[in-house]
Amino acid sequence: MGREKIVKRRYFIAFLITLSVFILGIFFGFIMDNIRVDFFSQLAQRQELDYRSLQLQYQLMDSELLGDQCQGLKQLFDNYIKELEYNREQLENYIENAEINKEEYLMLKRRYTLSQINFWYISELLKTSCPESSDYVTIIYLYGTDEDCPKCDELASYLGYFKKKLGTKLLVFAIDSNFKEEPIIDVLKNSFDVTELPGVIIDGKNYGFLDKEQLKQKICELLKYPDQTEICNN
Amino acid sequence: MFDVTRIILYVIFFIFMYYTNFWLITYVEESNTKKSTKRKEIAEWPGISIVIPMYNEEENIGPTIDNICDVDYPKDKLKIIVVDDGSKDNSFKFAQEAIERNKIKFPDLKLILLRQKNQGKYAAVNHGLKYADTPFFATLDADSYPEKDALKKLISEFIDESDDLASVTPILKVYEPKTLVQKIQWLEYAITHFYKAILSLRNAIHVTPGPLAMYRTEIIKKLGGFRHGHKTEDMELAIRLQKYHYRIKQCDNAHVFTKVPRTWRALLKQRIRWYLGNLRNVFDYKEMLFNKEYQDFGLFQFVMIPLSGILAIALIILLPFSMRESIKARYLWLKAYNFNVIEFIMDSFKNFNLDFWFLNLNLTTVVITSLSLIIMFYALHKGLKIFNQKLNLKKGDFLVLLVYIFAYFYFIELVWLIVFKDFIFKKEIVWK
Repeated sequence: MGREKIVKRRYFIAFLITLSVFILGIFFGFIMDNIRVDFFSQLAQRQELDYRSLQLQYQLMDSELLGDQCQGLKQLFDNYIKELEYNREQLENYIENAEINKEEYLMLKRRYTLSQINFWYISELLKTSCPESSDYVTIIYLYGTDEDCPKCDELASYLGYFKKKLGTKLLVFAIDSNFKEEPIIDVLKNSFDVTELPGVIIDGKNYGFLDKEQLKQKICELLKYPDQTEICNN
Repeated sequence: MFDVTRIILYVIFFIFMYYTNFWLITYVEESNTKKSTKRKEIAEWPGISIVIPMYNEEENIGPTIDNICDVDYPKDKLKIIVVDDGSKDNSFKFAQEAIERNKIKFPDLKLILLRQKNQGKYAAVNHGLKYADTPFFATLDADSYPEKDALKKLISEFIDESDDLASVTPILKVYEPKTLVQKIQWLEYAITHFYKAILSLRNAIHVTPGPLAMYRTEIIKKLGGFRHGHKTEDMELAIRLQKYHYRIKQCDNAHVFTKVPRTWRALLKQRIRWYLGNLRNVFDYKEMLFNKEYQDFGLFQFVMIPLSGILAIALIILLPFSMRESIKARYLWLKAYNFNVIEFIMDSFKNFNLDFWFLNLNLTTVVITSLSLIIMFYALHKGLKIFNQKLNLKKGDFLVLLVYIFAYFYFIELVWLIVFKDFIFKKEIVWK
């Protein structure tokens, strides 16, 4: 009988099948990327509308055309802001791993960055106009890459931890300080004198890197009713 | 953009998948046409010599001799040759006792006990081979027990075959798997034998295992018997048979139970010996690599032995590297939670969002992983069919299956890592 002859066709078919599986995988990846872009575009659109609605309500209240709407406004604000930070984190992940649609992702990132700043602005306004119903701490967190901000990842995990524990009592507005597409970031950096990363702006002052304990101290110090939180009680 | 790590990882998966697809196509196209028929009617069974090399096997040798003497084969056609390779324990004494009692029980059976200075397994088998005067001979590891009809089934495969069929190998089953490590090997053996059944279709088997591989005596003697083969003499011989264009076949219904390592440490030691031996043998026969003369064996199977090692090393380096960011992030999160894992998991679940979970899926990886799992389960199903056994998920096999699928791979990676280190630094291999 001897040795079996090579079936060349089999080598070729195996290659074709393998290639097809990979192309299928990449194709699915492409579809998924488009789904992600659509999903985030819709979210961004909704956030922009949310912000405009909030802004209008605030203006009407401020002009005394509407009575005291602090409670309702704060509730609305809490609802809108709830997912803002989480959505931003997800978007950052996708931008990092995006193989296609990078341009669209960057556009989305710009919209998200503006939304963050808008909501931060409203949160500061609410603190002045509705001091009683605004028991929360706002933090602008300017982060960078591993190279220009080696401590950013650590700080992000602390901020994330306190965010999970405090919910709407802590508002973190994380902004990529290297995101050149949006000029307002440089304005923020100059205004709050951020020369080194990370920038942690609490109550209008830049503290730079804070460890977990320092961060906790600062947050608890600024909350009106720290006793109502588990974190500040421990 | 695509990063280099990810591209290399995809290339590795591509090679593994191509390799798997090739053999699966072979199986689909050839398994029906070449399936071994049921046991052939044989008027006169040929003579078989069975060489049992042993070294410090006092616990096993007695039952092994008893078992092989009791197989279903005409006793006057059987010759059992036990070779003590200079054991330091009571192996010789126990072998002597077993031989004496079996001589009484089976008077027609020829039983020989030899003794030599410790020279290694290959030398012990060669010593026994000198006394093999039958057309066929088999080796039998001292810790292996063939099923009663295994010899007849193995011999049946030689009938009506051309003389170039030099060896027929049996199916190895794990003897009484008790520990997790042994149960994992039980699964592994099932999958391996399905894979070897496919290799058998294309004469691409690269190892004739110690537990009851059957040979044509004349061919093995002509080739000069066994060689050291870097302590994997069974692989060296199989490659040499391939080199001289002889055929090796697997008999899917001849079963042999063999004892396997009980602990991870023992398994690691065994696998290092096997893989390092494999690698060195490939190096010794490097002229066969990518050699068209050896058809599928030279172009594909033989190449995959070192290649799978190289790819495994690449994976063990690249996988953690590609996941470094997420590993670092998880560590920092846990640090923020003062390493309170339960609290961390609970909080993570509170924020679980199905939309994002779906959006986070990397479909390219999902497709490749799903396909790999389907193929693995198919191979397992086929392997268990060859084993004539079933998975008992209720009896803890589920855990074994999980460990095999998700963790065993890392163990094999570790083996390859050590093997390449030893290969480069030329470390000696020990048999026991």
